[in-house]
Amino acid sequence: MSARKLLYIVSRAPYSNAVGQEALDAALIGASFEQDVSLLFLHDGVFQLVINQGSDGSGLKEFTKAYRALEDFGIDKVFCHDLSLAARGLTNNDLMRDVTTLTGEQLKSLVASSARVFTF
Amino acid sequence: MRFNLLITGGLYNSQAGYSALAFAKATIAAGHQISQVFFYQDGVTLGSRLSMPLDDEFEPVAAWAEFAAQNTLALVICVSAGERRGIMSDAQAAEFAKGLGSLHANFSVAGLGALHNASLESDRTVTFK
Amino acid sequence: MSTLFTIHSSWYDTTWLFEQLGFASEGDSIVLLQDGVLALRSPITLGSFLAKCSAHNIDVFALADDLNLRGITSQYEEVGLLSIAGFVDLVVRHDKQVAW
Repeated sequence: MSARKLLYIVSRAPYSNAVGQEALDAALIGASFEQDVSLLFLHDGVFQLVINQGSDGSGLKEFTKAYRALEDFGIDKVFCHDLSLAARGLTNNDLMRDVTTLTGEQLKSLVASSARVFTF
Repeated sequence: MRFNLLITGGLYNSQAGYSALAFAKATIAAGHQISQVFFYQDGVTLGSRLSMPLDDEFEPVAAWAEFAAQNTLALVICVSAGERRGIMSDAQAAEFAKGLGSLHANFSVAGLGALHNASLESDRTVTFK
Repeated sequence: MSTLFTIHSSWYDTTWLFEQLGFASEGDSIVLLQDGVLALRSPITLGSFLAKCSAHNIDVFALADDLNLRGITSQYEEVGLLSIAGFVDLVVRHDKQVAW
């Protein structure tokens, strides 16, 4: 079977829930199936990628570090919604890694062309 | 058509367990097949054998267990999401020296690979949050 | 490929989906269920949303059981009332589902 397009969408900020970790786990497994995986940060999900996270080693684990190494696990399509960034006063310079920003229209195409969409 | 279901809403913070069960019953009544029901995120709490609602309340865990038994349906809890939330089999609980497990006998435990296998082999994946 | 969008949470938590994205394409459908049906009590914003959907040939449905549970009656002819069996049929008629 040829690779199918799997889209994982994160729309929640990190630390007050396990959404980010569990979305990441799912996307990594999708990539391990050698499918065509895209990871999209939308709405409050863009806060997952903000630089300078962490609490000096005490308390909650800074699991978002893993987002820097997505390519090592077969995920090289990483997207942010442009208006979600702009609405929060964020630009690409505030993010810990390179992402491709998508307009609403491009996002619509991404959703439409995906075989499976997992929302978190 | 072959369906698989993904439930991510929890036992008492979402209607997902109830909605998905009604959907599953209607799916089978319409002549379709359900290859698997996968419980992820807070959805794993639907596999707790220790859930004990009041007598006159809907019992989501028991309702799923009974429906699955009648239709030989696989109810699968995500291993890591379950362990985070204290939903695990006796074998897992023993491994962590935690006494008896909390997983209902009609549910099983697997990794996220099981979700992806079911999704890629089904015609439709339907998520309830 | 057509998409069935299902909205499980309150309109007041998901309105950004509609306002910012206009994420659905022609031929897609939207189902309101669980707390999603509360949208039918958002008269100020729902009207313009339904007009947009209609202009783009996007059908909108609400799960009747979830409306009844919450004591909400639909006052919108544009919103189709859906039985659970009708919901299954809609899933079959679209290539995939996206849950919010």
